[in-house]
Parts: sequence; structure tokens; C-alpha cells
Amino acid sequence: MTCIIDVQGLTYRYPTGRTNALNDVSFTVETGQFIGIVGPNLAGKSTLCYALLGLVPQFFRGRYEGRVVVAGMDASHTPVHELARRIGIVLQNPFTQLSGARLTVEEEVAFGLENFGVPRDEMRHRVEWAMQQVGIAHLREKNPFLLSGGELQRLAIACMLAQRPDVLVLDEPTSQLDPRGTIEVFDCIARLRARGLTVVMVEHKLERLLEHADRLLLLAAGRVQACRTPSEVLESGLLQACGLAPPAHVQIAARFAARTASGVLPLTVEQVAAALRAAQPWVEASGTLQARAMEPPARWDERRPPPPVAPAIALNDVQFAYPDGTRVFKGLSLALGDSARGVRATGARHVAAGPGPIALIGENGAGKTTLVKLVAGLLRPQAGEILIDGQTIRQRTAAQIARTVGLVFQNPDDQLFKSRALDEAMFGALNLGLPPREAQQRACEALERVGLAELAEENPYDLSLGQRKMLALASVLAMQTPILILDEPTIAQDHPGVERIGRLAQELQAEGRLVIVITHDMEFVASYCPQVVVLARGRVLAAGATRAVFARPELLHEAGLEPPATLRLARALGLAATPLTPSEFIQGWQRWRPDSLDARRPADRP
Amino acid sequence: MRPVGLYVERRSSLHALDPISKLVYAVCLALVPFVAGDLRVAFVVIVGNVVLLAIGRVLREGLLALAGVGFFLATLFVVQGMVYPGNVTPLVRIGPLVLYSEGLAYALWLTARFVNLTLSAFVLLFTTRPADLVDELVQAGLPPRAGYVLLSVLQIIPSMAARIAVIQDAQRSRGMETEGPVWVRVRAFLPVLGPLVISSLVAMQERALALEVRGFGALGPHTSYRLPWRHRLAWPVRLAAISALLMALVWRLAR
Repeated sequence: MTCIIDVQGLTYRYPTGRTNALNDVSFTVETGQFIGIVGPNLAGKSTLCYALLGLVPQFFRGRYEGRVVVAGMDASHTPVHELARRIGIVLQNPFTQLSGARLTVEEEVAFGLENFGVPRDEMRHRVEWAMQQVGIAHLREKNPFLLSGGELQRLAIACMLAQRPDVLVLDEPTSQLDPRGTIEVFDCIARLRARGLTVVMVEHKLERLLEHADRLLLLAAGRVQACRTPSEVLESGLLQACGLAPPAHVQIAARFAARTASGVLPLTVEQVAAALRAAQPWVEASGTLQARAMEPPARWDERRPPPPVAPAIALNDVQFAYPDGTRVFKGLSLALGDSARGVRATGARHVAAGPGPIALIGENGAGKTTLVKLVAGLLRPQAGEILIDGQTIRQRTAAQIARTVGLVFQNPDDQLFKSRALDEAMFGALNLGLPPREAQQRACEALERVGLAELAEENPYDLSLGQRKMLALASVLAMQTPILILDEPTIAQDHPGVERIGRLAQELQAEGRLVIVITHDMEFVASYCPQVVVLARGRVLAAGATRAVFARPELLHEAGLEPPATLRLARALGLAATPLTPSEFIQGWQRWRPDSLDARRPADRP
Repeated sequence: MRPVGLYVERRSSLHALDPISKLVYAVCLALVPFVAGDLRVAFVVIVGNVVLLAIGRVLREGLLALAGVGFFLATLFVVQGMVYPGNVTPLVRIGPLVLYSEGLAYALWLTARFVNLTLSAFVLLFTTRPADLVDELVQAGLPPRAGYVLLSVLQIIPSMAARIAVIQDAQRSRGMETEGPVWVRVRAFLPVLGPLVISSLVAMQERALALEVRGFGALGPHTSYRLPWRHRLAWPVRLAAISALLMALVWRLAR
């Protein structure tokens, strides 16, 4: 194979940077390989992507040393539009990747081809093919500006695929996609690889990356920590040293020193199941196991004493359609929150009562964000009633409801406007009419809780996206609302950030607040959310205890979701128990002995 | 997200006509009364425009839009009727006010030209998507970069309006009141403007970067995904419009 990417001694500092974004980065990629770039926030992952396209230094300027050669072209000198004939990039924010000058999805896909002078017949063929690859052919007539985040991400990928690059660089291409969409994108990339495409992908979703990547490039503080096969990187312990966590099933495999037949760490759920069976032969022999012993305490400990009474939300027969006629809810009845506040008395068909946080899950377009906007009074139902602690919110303005319901938006840039992080964190508290001193005290506490205390004097726009999301969260936290709703809080967060948000959600719940989290991250739900509501096409498919809901794979499938890896591993092993986290699985597995099982070996059965 | 412009989504033979023919028509017919210099010609063209708006099923929208400037036109009659320099013959006396026939005739002439110009533009604007027009102009030879600028403005204005609504929601959810007296709304302006301006600047930089990787600066000929708009009446319409303008010139010279 030939080398298609050659990076040697790349060191780069942005014009306004205080430190180098990249330090002496060197690696090579051969044609047809798939390289996964992983690392904590601010590791330099996106900067490295820009460097491969020549955007660093040609677009961003700054101090640049070293050499980047892609497809035989020196990326620091070859004009970007020339590099773009061979290399495509899907940026982190799909919205800004739109041309802004095309009225339909198919015309948007064709935009790059028009610029490169591709003949019309060839263009039509490529546009159709690219839309089919990412499943957006049905959106061809839609205005790109009206697409959802997930649809935009698929469109951005289609735009690049249509250009038929030899190398495709993707910077978190699935961050806004639901689990089904994520799998589809990875499957699409796998198909294209079979045709010789070289792929470089930055991705936080390690489970999928491990399945597909030939090598992992681990970056931290702008330096390459490792560039080896996924198994080697995982076994080296460097991932954990950089603050990242291996996928749940890999943690389990590592804990039991399970190995594949070739002696390496297994990477997929199926490989881990096979390795565990090989390590414990009686597992396979026992067939469908009834692992009664395997019911360890969950991370959120379902048997702990109930927290102080949290508020309750009830939606009674709510109907809602957007002005363009798109109907989202047709008679939605749902109760959320503490049963002590009479949630069960509302008569709602679906109830998620009990200690939260409550996860609101479902595929893109299921109605999750619309639901929370209705609760926050930002949208008004055409019919039906929304009650908070038994009181209707119909007569209250959104700003008045904000005293009770704090909503943290998905995109922090919709909120931030002050020139100092502390001022930004005080904004909500001041709106409540608090004296400046108290508002500042609350803001400082909130910044401390989200880990931004040391950045209180910084300009919010000098922070990373993950930090800006934390700041937006802090500004709502400082309002100390009884109900807190987080819309996709884990997007753009690395593992420590996700853990911090999870712990914070649990702490707030323990303080007696009702915390609702919209997320596509099933591992987050499994770890931190004891209650869950599953939405699909504006309907509630299920609501209640997460363990009970996740135990119904057909239901998750209908909602375009998939169970967390630990549960899939348990199912692959034929276990009837429902472990949701690696620690649950490991504790149960350790206690589990063949003689404690109901099930007998097939040979023992009558 | 409401698109920029006056375009009304309907199915009509006028909607089906290619944008450039409608542009040629609008320009030529708007000029006809000016060139002919005759009120009667202006009225003929106005009637023609009204008929075309009816064919395009947008007459109601056109007349409503015209009614919006009715007050301005009424003022024109009063002012010219009173103070036109050539006023000699009193026509109407209302208390101390006298309206002269010369002034009123001049106001009628101004109004006829204004109404005709507006209706001619409506024939184009009510039945043509702005993006279609720009796209056709690019295919006819307008530089692609100029076309991009026009098209992106048409797209970005409504998208910014939609974004303002999102930002307002985000700030309302932090307790910012946007409903109520004027001073409350004014106070809510900065928290909306700030994120809008800053994020627009950031988005502009990212979009410039994205355009580069999509070959916007690529050298060599550009191609077009859209098929050129073909209509069997395209050239007859264009020729008829140009002929009308020439005939107006002949009319003027012959008088």
C-alpha cells in the first residue's frame, strides 16, 4: 500500500493562542486505512483535521512548522480548493458547512460539484448516489435551512461524498445523530472504505470507532500519545491516562483479562462475549441463564432512600403542531417527577415517577426538544393542559416559567453574549431580580460545580465548545430552579465532562430538584438516569424505570435506539439479567457461580 | 422560515414562464409610459399588467400591495393639485384650499407611471422565486460569485430571522422577559443582538472555510446542476416586450 498522508514534525500555534495547539505531531496513513483520532477536549483534534486540508496555516495563519503531505500535495502551500479535489472534510458544525445559497437539499449536495465544473449528467448521478448513501434522498426537495441537526449532519457528509475524495476527514460527524443514524453513518463509511477511501475520523463514540478503525491516534495537549491498533492503545492504558474511558464492554473484557483467539483485547460486543465464553466454558454450556445472583446495586442505587420531594410535571392530552403544519403531538399524556406530588393521580397514560434524573430519549425528530419547549412555555399547545406541581402554566410567560423550569439549550452560542464568563453565569440570576451580590455568589457556586471556576474572568468565546456548554449550564444552574432540563448536554464533552454532568445531575436530583436530560447517549442514560421516557414520532412508547425499559429491545429498536453495550453483552451471553453498567456486570459476574443458577446445562435438562 | 421576497406559490402559466423573459417584460413595460410620454399608453399598459396578474392568480396580492401606497398617492394629488408651478385653472375648492386641474393632471401622470412600474415589477416578483431568477442570470452569464452573493443574502436573511427566534427562546428560558411594554422589549434587545452578531461572525468565518473546501475558489469553468429554464414562449415574450418599448419610442417620435 502507498502512503497517502504523511505528517512530520507538525507544530502549530493559532495567531491568538498562548500555547501550541499541536506539538511535533508525526504519523503516516496508508491508502484505504481508517484512522480514528481520539483525545480529550482541547487536544488539538480539530486543528489536526484543518492541517490535513491546508486550512491550517493557509486560512488560520499562525506559527507553523513541519510538513504535511496529503495525496502527494504539500498542504501548507497547495491552494485549499486544489487539495479539496482529493480530500474532503466534514466539519464539526454542519450548519456552517451549508453553502447558504441553495434552496434544496439536492442542489446543496451539488454545490461543490458545480464549483469543480463536473458535467451535469455526472453531477446528477453523484448527487443521487451520495444522498442514497446517507439516507437523505427523501429530503431532496427540502430547504437545507429547515433540516434538523441530525439531517444536517447527513447532508454535510453527502456533500463531501459527492465530491468523491480519496481521503475523507470527518470531525465528529455523528455528534447530533441518534444511535441508529450513527450506525448508518459508520456502515456507509465502511462501504466506501471497501472501495478504497481513506478515512480520518475524530469521534468521541469510541465503541463505533473501535469496530472500524485500523489505528487510533491518541492526542493530548497537542501531542501524539499513541498511534497504534485499537487493541494496543486500549491495552497500553494511555487512553485512561488521558482521561478517556474505553467502551463499557471493553472495560469488562479488560477486567476479566478476556482475549480473542489471536490473544488480543476484544473490541466488539460479539468478540467480548466470545472471549468470555472461552474463558468461562460453563457460560456457553448453560444456555439461557437465569442469573438471579446477578442483580447488583446500580450506580444510582435503586434501594437508596428517596430524595427530598421533587416537583412534578403533567402533560394532559397535549396537542401541538408547528405553524408550517408539522404535527408533533396528538393527545400526548405524560407525567414526570415525584409520585409524592401526585404524579400518579394525573391519570396520564405514561408515567416516569420516582427518583430521577429522567432521560428523554428517541430518534432525531421524535419530538423531544418540542416537548421540553412546551414545558418551558416557549411553545404553546393548541389543546390540552400542562401542569407543574398541579398548577397550569397557561397564563404564565416563558420568563415567569423560567423561575421554575431552567432549560439549557443544545447550542450554547444561542445564549452567550457577555464578555466575561462570570457575567454570563449571573445573567439568569439577575433576571430573577436577585441583588447583584447574591447573583454573583450563586454564579460562582455554579461555575465551581461545572468546573469553570478558574475561567470566570475569561471571555466565553475564548472557551472551547464543551466549556461554553458548561457555562450555559452554569448560568441556568445559578437560577436554582426546581426543575432543570438539559438538551443534549454530553455533545462535545469528553469523558471527564460527561462524568461531571452525570454526577451533577444526580446531585441536583438528590437536592430535591427534578432533572430531565435529553440525550442520544445510551451509556449516559444507563449510568446516571434511573427513569426514562422513550419518544417516537410524537408518541410515548414507554416511560418508567430505565432497567425495565432497556430490557425491551424491540421497543428501543422501534425508537431507533440501541441498548447500552453492557446490556448487549449480557444478551449476547444469554443472560436474563439486565446489567446496565460495567460495574454492575463485573460485580454480578464475580458473584455468579454455576451452582447458583436455576438453569441447568443442556445435557442435564429432561 | 419565510423566504425573502414577494413570491407567491401558485400554479399558473405565468409562474411557468422563465424568469429572464419575465425580467425583460418587467423592465421594458415599466419603461413604456416614460418613453411614450402619453397617459393613454400608460393606462393601456396598466390594464395589460392587471390582466397578467390575474392570469398569474396573484391579482389580489398585487392590488393589496398597491393599496399599501395608496395614502402616498393620495397625498401626491393634494400637493400637486395645490402647488404645481403650472397651476392656472381652479377645479375644486374646499374651504381655503384650491385644487387646480393642471396640478391634478400632473399628479395623475405621475401616478400612472408609478402604478405601471409597480405592477410590471409585481408580474415578475409575485410569480418568480428570487433564487430562480439569480440562478438563471448566472446561467446567462452573471459571474458565479456575484450570483452566490445575491443568493446567500436571500437565504441568510430569513435564516437570521429564524435564529433570532431561537436566541429569544434561549434567553427567555433564562428568565429574560420579552413580552410586555416597550421598555421591556428594548431591554431584551441586547441579549438577542449579542449572540446573533457574534455567532454570525463566527459562522461567517466557518462558512468561508467550508466554501473553500467545497471548491468555491476553484479555477476553471463552473457548471450548473439545474437545467436551463426552457419555455416555448420565452423568445416571443421577450421580443414582444422589446417591440412594445420600440413602438413606444416610435409613438413618441411620431407625435
